[in-house]
Amino acid sequence: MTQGALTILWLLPALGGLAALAGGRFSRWIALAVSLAALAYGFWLLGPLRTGVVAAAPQAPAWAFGIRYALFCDGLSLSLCWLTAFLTAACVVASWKKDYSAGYWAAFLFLEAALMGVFLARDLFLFFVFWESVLIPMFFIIGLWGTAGRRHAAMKFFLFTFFGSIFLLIGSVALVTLQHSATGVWTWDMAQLKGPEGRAGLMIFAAMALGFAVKVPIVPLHTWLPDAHTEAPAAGSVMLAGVLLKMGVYGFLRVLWPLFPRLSWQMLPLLGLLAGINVIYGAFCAMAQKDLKRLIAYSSVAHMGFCLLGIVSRKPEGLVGGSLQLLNHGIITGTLFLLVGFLYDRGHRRGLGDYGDLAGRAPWLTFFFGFTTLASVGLPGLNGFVGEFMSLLGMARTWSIMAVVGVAGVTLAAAYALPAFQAVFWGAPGPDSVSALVYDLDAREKGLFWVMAALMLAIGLYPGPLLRLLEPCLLGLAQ
Amino acid sequence: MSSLPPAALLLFLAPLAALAAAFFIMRPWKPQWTHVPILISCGVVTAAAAYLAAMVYTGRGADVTLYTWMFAGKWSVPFGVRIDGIGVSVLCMVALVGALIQLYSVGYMKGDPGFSRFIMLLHLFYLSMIGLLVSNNYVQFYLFWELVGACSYFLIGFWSHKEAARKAAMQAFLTLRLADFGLMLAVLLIIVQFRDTHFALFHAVRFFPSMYHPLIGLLILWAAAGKSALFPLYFWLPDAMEGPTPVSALMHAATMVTAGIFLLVRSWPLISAVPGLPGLIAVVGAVTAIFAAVLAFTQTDLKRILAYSTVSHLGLMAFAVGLGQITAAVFHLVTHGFFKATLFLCAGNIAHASGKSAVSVSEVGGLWRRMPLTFAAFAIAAFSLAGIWPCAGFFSKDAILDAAFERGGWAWAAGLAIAAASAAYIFRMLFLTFFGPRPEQSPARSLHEAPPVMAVPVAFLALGALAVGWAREDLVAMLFCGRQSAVAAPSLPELAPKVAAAGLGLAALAAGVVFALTMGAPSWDWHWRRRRPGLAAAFAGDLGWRRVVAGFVARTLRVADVVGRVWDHETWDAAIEKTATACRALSRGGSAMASGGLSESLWWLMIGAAALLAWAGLR
Amino acid sequence: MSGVVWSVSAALFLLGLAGVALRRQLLAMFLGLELMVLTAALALGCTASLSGRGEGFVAALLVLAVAAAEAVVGLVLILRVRSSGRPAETQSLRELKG
Repeated sequence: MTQGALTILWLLPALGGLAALAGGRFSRWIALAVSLAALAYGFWLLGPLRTGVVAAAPQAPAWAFGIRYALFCDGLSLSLCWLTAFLTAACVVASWKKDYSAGYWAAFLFLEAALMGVFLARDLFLFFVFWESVLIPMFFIIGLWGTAGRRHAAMKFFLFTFFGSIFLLIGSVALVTLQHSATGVWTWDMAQLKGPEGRAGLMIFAAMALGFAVKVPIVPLHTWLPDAHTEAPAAGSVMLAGVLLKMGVYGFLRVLWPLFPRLSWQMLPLLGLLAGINVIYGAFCAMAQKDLKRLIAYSSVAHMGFCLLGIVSRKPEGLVGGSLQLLNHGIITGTLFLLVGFLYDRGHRRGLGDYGDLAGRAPWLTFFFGFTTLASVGLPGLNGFVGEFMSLLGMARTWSIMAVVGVAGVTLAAAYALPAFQAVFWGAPGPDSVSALVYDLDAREKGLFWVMAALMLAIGLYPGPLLRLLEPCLLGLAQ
Repeated sequence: MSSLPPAALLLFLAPLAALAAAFFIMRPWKPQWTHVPILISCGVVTAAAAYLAAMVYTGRGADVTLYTWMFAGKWSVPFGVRIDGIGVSVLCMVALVGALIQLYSVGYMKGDPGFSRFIMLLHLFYLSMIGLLVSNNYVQFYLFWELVGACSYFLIGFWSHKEAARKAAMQAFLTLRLADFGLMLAVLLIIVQFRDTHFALFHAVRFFPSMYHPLIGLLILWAAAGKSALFPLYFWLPDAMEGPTPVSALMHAATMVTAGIFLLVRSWPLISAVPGLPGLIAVVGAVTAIFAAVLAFTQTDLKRILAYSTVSHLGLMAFAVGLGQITAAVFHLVTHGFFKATLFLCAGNIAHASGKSAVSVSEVGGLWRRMPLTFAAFAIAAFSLAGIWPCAGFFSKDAILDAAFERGGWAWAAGLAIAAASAAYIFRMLFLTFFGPRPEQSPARSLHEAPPVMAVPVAFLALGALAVGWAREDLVAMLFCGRQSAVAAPSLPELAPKVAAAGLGLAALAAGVVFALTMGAPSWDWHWRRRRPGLAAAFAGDLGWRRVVAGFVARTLRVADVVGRVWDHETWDAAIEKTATACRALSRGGSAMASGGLSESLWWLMIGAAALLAWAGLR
Repeated sequence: MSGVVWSVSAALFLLGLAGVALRRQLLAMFLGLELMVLTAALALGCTASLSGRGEGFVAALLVLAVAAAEAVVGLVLILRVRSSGRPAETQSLRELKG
């Protein structure tokens, strides 16, 4: 797989974004075409990945201090690129009827390009550049096309995650500088960098981990998430919950674990504890929410706790399960936010008590929402269970207490998800309910959700192909 | 490892095909014919189950992996099928009873706007239960275990416009989820300890003691207690009667609730290897059985009486397992399926005829004349439940009583108490519903016999409740055939005449006493409720247990509120947002310093110059 | 530099500084400023006369020239402030506020 082939994967959406900016009336068509093309290209890249070797040492000339333009791709990166492309296409299809300006469609394409870059970058500086450029389109998506409190939420999101990224930059620079003073060679190549030992290593680890932790998000650095998810437009929440949260965990897997194999293993108690806290804290917070989107946002905190439990355990089951759960959570939570978005389009309200008895008026909406809620709760047979089970198994083999916490989290998931489903779809409408405004899904929306539901069922019952894709690159990280 | 018989594949494929046909073809096109592919599938499944039973009876079995479901590194979980004696014997009961109940529900739910959705959900549940019975490893078992729970949520809350139904469905799902905590953790620990979860590998587990054994056993008991409504997790079952009667009959009498007992039976090698755990199971079972039987005696709603009766019988089955008599437990599971389903469907006949979903004891009476077939079926099933010869229930209950007698002491006393109490409440229900009517009762004028589509399944089930016991030798033989049963199960205890006489005598005594109480004047059943309303309320609240549960729920919600609202939003997030306020305050303070005044600037200039000079001078 | 010259110059300088710092009227501040400059010239002249070298007188003359030029600019600025209608006080000159 050559560098050029991988470059197309992020360059295509970037150029498409520019075209969409200029497209005017046709921007949504351009966006649809480009996102589907990126998705198809991503799938096509599976062939070269299978047969060819991962990109060899980069030949591009160094820019300064060893910074190079270097990309690579393995099973983990490719699967996350698929997720990005798929969710972007879903967002475009879901927002089709909306009357947004060209900037909206362009922003999604730029976001896709930046995200692909994050997952493909091999050079640490390039990784950081793409990492930061994700914030810009997201800031505009939340700030310009969001709901009532969008300005505040966009600013909070940007500043909070930017604050974390500063530490990532400091850590990266320190790492590269220390490596240079030790070996005399300037390099930012992730495959050649090695974390130093001792106090310096610990501080660099802490700085970079902080940067990733804000994105995961790890409690207590999570408070940007509820506001950002709630005030973003539906498609924005999908990308936020579906892909941006995965960047943090990807950072742990791709950057921290290989750079600091021994130190990250020693940090297991702390990181495992934080992951367990995520699971329980997110679940309890979700139980207290009265706003649908905020509830789903906190459930994302809990789900990312599961992924973290898996990858922190450093056992093959945990690593593969946690990575698979990244994909699963992207699909499930993306679908949930799309469903809530459609509901909001009709009723213009998000509160749990604002609806009621929608099962009669909108049976298909009810069906898909119930299906996705069950997947979110971890019902076996759907994709949520596979990732969660394998993550918890990895943790059980390492530190059983946290597995108990994790299983408790699975139990609690039903306690926040089902009452929400029941209040909106089954309950009796209150005096000021807007259920009368809600009509059922149309063909485009139904088609979108059939694809999602089929994916959830397929991955839940037959995750084999995905597991085979993820396994080889992750087994090297196992302890 | 013999190859998979096609009949086993049919067990899955037929319902899947029927569901697909029903969902994609029948529902959009002709919803009132949704039952056609479903009933065909029921027939195919029942035939396949019978074929597999014959196969196992002749000594063959199977334990085949269909494909590898999950894997990572050196670990993997297969998706497979296991055909052995225990699974197939329960499978036959489930397949037949399920098919008959689905036929019944065609008549019961006719005219309901959600007819096609109901039929499909019920069939999905049927498929899940069958999958549970033929799973060959713990993880796959967990898959179908949870799927069954999810189906029960949608079926209990089927009439979602009724608030009681919604609450009951939520309560059921959350309680089952709480119990599933135990099973999931047990499965994880099993994998950590033994690396593999195949049922077949556990028959020698007692030779590999480990520190996790007791914990795994207790967790399995916790999970079974939730699913099979043992104390303390039984309370969802009576409230689950809000669902339509076919749901109550299929799920909460014959199949889903028996999944917990089935888990205990499958895990018997694991459980028996832990000292003290079988004793604990026996105690829990006995306590549940007696407690529920007493409560059943005081209920006024027909279906709730039967619900508490189910709880009691599940306790009895757990009691049998705890005494080591897993064969007797499986036998009672099978007979219970038949007679309890009959009882529920008779109650359904009454409900359907009166046009309501819940019928109280005050709204029936003297129905033996108007609903003779229902009366006959109910009577047979009631005799079976009370353990009266020659019904099937006599043999199964007697087996358990024999085991209790051999154990002696408290077990024998508990067994006798259960026998007496069961007879008491079921004969109370029989007399109050079909004899009389008493002056306090006012049966509806519309009560009539059920249409054939409903009456025929009831008749067949009653026949089963009568006759299944006569095939007990074959059943026991089948339990030991097939693939190496992962359990070294003892045979049924010998029928001791002393025990049989004691059981029959107690039942007859109880029947007589109850007859006097209910049919005599003043009608005692209403009398004590009027005289002691406090006592009636106490029984209605399950002697205080419901208050405990409600308190637990309230405390959890309060914790959630404190964490989610008070801490996260109002304290921690507010503190983070205060950084923005702090920054603004800092900038305001800074700009206040730049007042633009000449004198101030001069002062700063002079002070700065003096400081620099001093610093230069000091260096 | 002898002690008398040093202390007299310092005292006059501080007097001028006090005038600049403590007076409100611009003209009074200006007087203080001129006093500070002339003190510097005085110190230069005295030192030169005491040490017998001529460079000091040259420097003092340069300082006086600078002071004169500065006086011109400063007085013109004060006149401009007055002609724009504001009193020549420090409180009224607050354009750089904030």
